[in-house]
This record gives sequence, structure tokens and C-alpha cells, in this order.
Amino acid sequence: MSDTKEVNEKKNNKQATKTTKTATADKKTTAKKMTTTKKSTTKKAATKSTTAAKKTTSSTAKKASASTKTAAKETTTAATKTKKTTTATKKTTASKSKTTTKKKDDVVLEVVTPNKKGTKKKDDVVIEIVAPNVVVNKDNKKVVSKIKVPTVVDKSKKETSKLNTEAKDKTLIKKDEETIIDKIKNFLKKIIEMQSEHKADAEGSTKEKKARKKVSEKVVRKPNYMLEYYDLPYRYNETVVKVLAQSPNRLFVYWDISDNDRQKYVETFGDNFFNDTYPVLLLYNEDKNYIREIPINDFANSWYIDIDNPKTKYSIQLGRKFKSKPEFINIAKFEQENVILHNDYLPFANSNKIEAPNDHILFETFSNKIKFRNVKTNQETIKDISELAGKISKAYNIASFKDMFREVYKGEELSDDRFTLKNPASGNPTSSFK
Amino acid sequence: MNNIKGYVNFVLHAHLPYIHHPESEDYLEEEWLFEAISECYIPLLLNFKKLVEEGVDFRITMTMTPPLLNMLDNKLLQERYIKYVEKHIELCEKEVVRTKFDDRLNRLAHYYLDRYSNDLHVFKDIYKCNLITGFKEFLDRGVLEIITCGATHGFFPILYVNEKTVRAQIAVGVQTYERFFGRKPRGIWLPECGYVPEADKYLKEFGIEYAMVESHAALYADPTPIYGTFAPIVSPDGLVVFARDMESSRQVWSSIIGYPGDFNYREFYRDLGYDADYEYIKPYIAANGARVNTGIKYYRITGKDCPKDYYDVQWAKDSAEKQAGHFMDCRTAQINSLASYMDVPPIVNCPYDAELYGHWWYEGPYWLYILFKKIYYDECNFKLITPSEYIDMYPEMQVCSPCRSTWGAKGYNEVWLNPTNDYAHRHLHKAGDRMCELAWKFPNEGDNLRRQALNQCARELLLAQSSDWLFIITNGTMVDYAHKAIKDHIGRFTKLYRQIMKDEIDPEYLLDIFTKDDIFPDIDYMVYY
Repeated sequence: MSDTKEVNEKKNNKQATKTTKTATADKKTTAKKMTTTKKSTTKKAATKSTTAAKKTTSSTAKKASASTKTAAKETTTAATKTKKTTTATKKTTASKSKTTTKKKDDVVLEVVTPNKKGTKKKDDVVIEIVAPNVVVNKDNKKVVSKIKVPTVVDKSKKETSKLNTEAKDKTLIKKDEETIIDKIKNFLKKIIEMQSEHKADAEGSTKEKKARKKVSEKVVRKPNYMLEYYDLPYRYNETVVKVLAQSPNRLFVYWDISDNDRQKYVETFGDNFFNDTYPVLLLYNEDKNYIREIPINDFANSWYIDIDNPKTKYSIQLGRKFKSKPEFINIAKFEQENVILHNDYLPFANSNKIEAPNDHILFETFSNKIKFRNVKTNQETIKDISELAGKISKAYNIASFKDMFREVYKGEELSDDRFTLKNPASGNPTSSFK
Repeated sequence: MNNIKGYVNFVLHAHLPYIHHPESEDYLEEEWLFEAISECYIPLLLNFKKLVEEGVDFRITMTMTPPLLNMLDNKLLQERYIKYVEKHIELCEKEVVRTKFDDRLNRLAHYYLDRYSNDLHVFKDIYKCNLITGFKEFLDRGVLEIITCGATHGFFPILYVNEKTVRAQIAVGVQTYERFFGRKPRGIWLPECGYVPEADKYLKEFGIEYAMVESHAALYADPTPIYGTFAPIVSPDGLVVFARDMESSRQVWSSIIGYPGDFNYREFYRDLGYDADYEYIKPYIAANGARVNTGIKYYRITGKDCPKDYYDVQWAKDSAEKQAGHFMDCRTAQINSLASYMDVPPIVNCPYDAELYGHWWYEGPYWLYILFKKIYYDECNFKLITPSEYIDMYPEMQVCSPCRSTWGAKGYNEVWLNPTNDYAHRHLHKAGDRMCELAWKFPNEGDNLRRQALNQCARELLLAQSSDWLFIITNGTMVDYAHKAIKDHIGRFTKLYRQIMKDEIDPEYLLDIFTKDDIFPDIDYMVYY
């Protein structure tokens, strides 16, 4: 229980600094791993961290955060009855991290991508850094090369060792993976450093260079994560129509029309084109060969469509229809921009094709000639159902097969060749166990 | 001895979305992993161990999804788990003191103290912080079959609009499996059992022989399989599918009649985190002060609408044993009746979320242990089997095209495609198209920096495609986190995409997001070529 004692001690200390978050000490093996900081705290861990392979215990860091995070901790399926959710903003500070190069000259890292097939390295841009503890090429030679600036030609093209995916030794696998992540990080850090050195060289002043280095060294002791915030774009400004199946009876379509395409129609029919027309979706059923017209509106960029024929292929065409005959038409544009007009309808774009899922037992597909395949030999045989052992051999037609099927599944609700599927849904277990 | 007339195939699907925040310790969502380790994975490992030590032969199949494998292998998360358990031990010690005047409560407090202490010991000392080695031991022993899954549990019925993205999900899923287990996977758990025939060819390309699917994938297949769900079928493109058995899944999982509702079992909704005095529990709940589950629960279900009684470990075990017997008897009867119909021995497929065993249903792992012992020792007409073994023994199967289906609510795609989350799909599709564009534009990239950026794009795309975000949004829990995850991963992808196209890659930015999203360290973006 020494861990807990230590924990208690730390807790007492922690209480005094409740509102400040103490940074977690560096836990990782390599020098260059960035760690988080919240408020200002000393980062003695950073210097400690330059020695490899020591996992400092996390008991030196305690949480006492001022930042708020989302509260509810229910996992995906439990009812959200009693939890309040508060969205929080992350308080990660954004700051660039520079690295201090402590590696010796002959220790370099190579980025390994094990599944490369015929990678062609361009001659003029190669940066190679080779890890000391990984066998580099088949001859067991360690490749040693200095770091080169990106624009310099590097002639050494050593074969990289593939990550041994057949490795039975688990520790070996672990080590390799650890090395890969660190290798990539170290590589990127080298690039960052080189770029900043380049910048400093370009600017010429040695004083500035020194100052920058000082800053970068300082920053090294306090590596931070970038503060990120992203919004999804409203649109991608391209003409696209995509259809998806939500269920056997409902499709989902989304679309967009690019500005260029809009312009094309405006130039052909005049500025009021989009006011004079309304959007439609043409639902085309390829198997039953019919088209249904669905008028929609310009406020939407997606739509749900109810369909009548599960297990058939559908596609959608997005178009527009004139509310009344157009007054102005630029004929030249028709050919130039490939505008098509059928009476009052203009097709804009076609979607992909999808097949709606099936929703019932296909008893009508029953035949007493059953196709079997041996999955080991891939040999197929057609057997008459009467040749099979067991009561199934008595199912000689659809009606008798149906009866037998129903008998096997007598514990289920089955009507109109549809099961009332009462299977517990994924991830939705015992939330009602009370 | 026993006349074996059929087989039972247990499949536990262990999956969690990749949640890794080196930049902050405040993400409660990270605790899903820690809870799963304490309540599910460690108990399963310990129960498997007991069975092996007692000489009980058994078979069970588990999915270990790539995000889960990456998280279990992640040093930061391993350390944070240790912190998590240590905190719990500290809380339990306090509880032992607090409850010393109540015998029953005090016994329970001691029980939890022992459990969490044992968790720490098992995690740190026995498995050296990496539970994957534990599962691999049983894999090597032949009692556990491990199958893979899509790289980030991407939902194929929506992604397949760009087939390359489905192929990439499969490729990276298989590659991850190979990296951790040193062999190729024979089977896959399709994410959410989302079956689309278009994926078959890619599954075959990567050596996958079989997949787990929902009941109606077989029942509504074309033509109708003569054996329904009780024998595997093979699709025209060569994928073998095993469909869920309805009766056994309801017996375990139904919210009305399912086993976990037994009155002696632990009540999930009476947790110390909510019951305890606020000032007392404050150090052990959310950093922002909100009450959360601690995992320490003192009450049992007791009844439908009545005051809850204290939990009793032994009573719960008794119920589990009774139910194990019931399950075994039901399967025996089921197989007896089925065997008379069929030309091959019937196989009853019982897939569940692994989380059910231990997290939602606390006594689940113990029930499984007792059930497997009973199957081995008692008189029953079936054996446990893995899908691979069944295929090897009975390779001849009916050729049918499985129905497009999922095991989500209502059986199709509604959970992942409805007005709450349908906004995401155009972005996921667009990013998928852009990723393929990048692979085509920069094939076999020689410049290391650009290659790293391309690989990071692949990582961000995969993370954005996780079906978990859509699921969470539909179910209304942790919705903000899920929305943010989609935005962040698409945002990072798009920013990096632009940098690559303009040849203005910012290595500091790349390093920053790689540190945050370091899943699949050895990914090759050419998988989108």
C-alpha cells in the first residue's frame, strides 16, 4: 500500500494548490515526448525525460483542475437520466515545441513503413535517420548517416527492415511499435529544428539566432499542445448527389450544386433561374423500371424518401423544373455547357446506385435443388433436398419448406414472412434492468 | 460418453472507440477503457485462467478491435489506468473505515478493496501493464479464437459509397491484428454486423474466411438458407457468415426476461459516486465536480419497484449458477430438436458485446465460467466451438447471398443514419474521396515529411469514420464529445490535405496531431490507392 501512502501525502500537498493544475511528469521513455501543462508549473520533468526508458510514476501529478469537461460518464447506451452534461472548452495551451538535439551524431532514426511495396524514393529529397536498435538491412549492417537538410541529395538508399509482423515474441513487437511512434516523432522534431535553423540563417543575424535558440530551449522545457478548434464546412462547392439506404423502406439523399454549375444555368436562362424553378428528385427504380418525381425545396440539402420496393436497385437524379415557361434562353450555352432540357425539366446530376435492403423471408426463392459449396476446395455441388439427412429432406416444395421453417422458429413472432426482430440491439443492454 | 449433436459458438465483441488525450487528463471518456479493464477484461482473463487451471476444455471467440488493441498497448493509457485503480483503492480504504459499523456494508467494502487491489496486481505484476499478452496466451493455447474488425469500426453500409474506404478499413484492421498477434486473422466482426455484399471481395483479398452477422442476414438471405441461422452459409463471393441465434441472445440480453435482471444481481444504478456525500466523494468523481459512476455499488436489484437491499456476493453467485444451468438446458433442448432436421450438426451462435460481461452485467464473467464448466462436466449434447473449427469440420455449406443488415436497433442503418447524425456523411464521404485523391496524386511518396503527412491523413480519416460517434449521437449520451470528435478528425484531415496539396506542410502541426492521434503507427496511406 506504499502507493496509496504516497498518494495521501501528495493529496495533502495538492489541497493547498487546488485551483492550479500540476503538470503531469513526463512518463514516456524518450526525450522528445511532449507533455501537457495547464497552468504555470515547473517542468523539471522535461530535463529528467531526456534519459530514456524510465517510467516516472504518475503519482507525482494530481488532478485539481479548474477546467471543466463534459460531465456525464454513462457509456453509450445507458439512459441519460441523472447526469448533467456541460460542454467545456479545452484549456490546452498552444505553443510550439522545439527540441534540443541531444542525440549523438551516429545515432539516427529511420522511418519504417513495413508494408511498402516498391517504394521509389526520389533522389533529390531524402531524409534518412536510422535507429540504433533496429536491424536495418538484411546484411545486419547498421546504417549510419548524418541528418541532411531537405534539399540536399542523399545518395544512401538503404533497405529498410520491415517490421516483423510474424514476430511471436510479444515484447519484441511492443518494442518495435514504441520505436516507430518515437521514430516518427523524432523525425518530425528534426524537421522542425532544421526549418527553424533555416529561417534563422535566412534572416542572417546571429544575435537573433541566439535569441531564438534561447526561446526554443525555454520552450522545450514547457512543451504544449496546440489549441485546436474546427467547424465542419457548410458545403464543399461541388455538384454531388449521393443516396444511402436507411432501411428497406427509406432512402436518404444528400446533394449540392457547385457555384460554377449554378452560374452556368443563370447564364443560360437568366438571373431569375433559381427563383423560376424548383428542385426535384427523380427516384429511379432500375429493377421495376419506374420513376417517381419528388418535389423538394431549396432550403434543404438532404432528404428522406420512402420507398415501396425493398431489395431493388435505386438511383436518384437531382433536377429542376420550371414553374412556368422560361422567357429567356441562351441557346449558345446549351451546347457549350451541355445543358439538357426536357420540356420543363432540367436534369442536373445523377447519384450512385444502391440496393435497398431486403425485409422478409424469400420463400419464393426456395427450390428443392440446393447449391452447396465446399469452402476448402471451392467445389460446388447441387443436391436434391431429398438426398439430405434429417427432416429437411421432406421439404419438397415451398409450402412444406415454409411449414418446416415456421416449426423450427416457432418461438418467434413470424407473420407475412417477416420476423418481429426482438434481438437486443447492439450496445443497448441492461439499461432497463431495475 | 456424450453424444454430441451440435455446437455452441460464443463470441464476445470487445470494442471501444479510440480515445487518447495526452493533452489533458480531464476527458471522462477515457474512463470507459479503465472501467472495461477492471470490470470486463481482467475478470474474463481471470475466469479463463481458472478454467485452464481446472483442466476444463472450452472454446470462446473474441473480437479485439484495432482501436482497443492500440489503447491497451498505449503507455499513457496504461499509466492512467494504474492511477485510476489506485484512486479506487484509496476510496475503498476510506469506505472500509466509513462502513465499519454496518456488517454487510463493511463486508462489501472489503470485497471491493480486494477486487481493486487484485486488479492492480493482475495488471501490473502479472500482465506487465499489457493485457494483450494475456489474451494472446489463451489464443496460443487454442481455447480462445481472436478475430479482427474494421480499423476504427467504420460502418460499411454507409462508407461503401466509396469502396476504397471500406477496403482500407479492412486492410488496416487485418494489419493491426497481424502486428499484435503474429498471425493472420481467419475471421472478422463486421462493425455493427453491418453486412454489404460489396465488402466480400475485400475481405477475401485480405484472407478473411468468415464474419459474424445478425440473424436476418441469414433469415432474409437469397435464397433462404434451408437451415436458417443454424448453419453457416457462404456468399457467392466466398464469405462465410455465422448468424446470431435469436433465442439465446434474448435469454441473456433481453431487458425484460434476460438473465442480468435477476434480483440478486448488482444494481447498476446505485453507485457510490451518486449515493455518497458530495464532499466525501468529490476527489473521486469528475474533475469538474459532476458525479460519475465509480464502479463501487452496494445494492442489488432486489425487485421491480422496491427499496434496494444490499448486494450479497454469494447470493449473486447462486443466481449465476442457476442461470448457467438454465442456459445449458435450453441449448440442449434447442439442439436436440434442431439436430433432427439437419444434415450437419447445428451451430447456435451467441454473439454479445463483451461489455455486457462484467460492466453491464457484473456477474456475467462468473456466469460464463460456471457455464463452461457445466458444459464440460455435465451431461449435455453439445460442445463449445469456434467458427474456424466448425468450418474446418463442415466445410460444405449452402450458397446464399446474405441480406444487407446490421445488429443495430431495427436491424438496418437507422442508428447511424438519421436526422441527428446524417449531417456527418457528406463530410465522411468527401474526406474519403480526398484521401483516395491524395494516394493517387502522391503514389509511393519518397519525401519523408510528405509521407508522414499522408499517413496522418489516413489516420485522421479512419478515426473520423468510427461508427461510435454516430451511435453516441443517436443515443444521446456524451453527444458533445462525439460531435467534437467528428469535427476534430475531419478538421485535422482537411487542414493537412490542404497543406499537402499546396506543399506547405507544417511539421509542428503534424507533430502535434500525431502525438494526439498516434493510432496505427505503421500505417501506409497507399492502402487508399
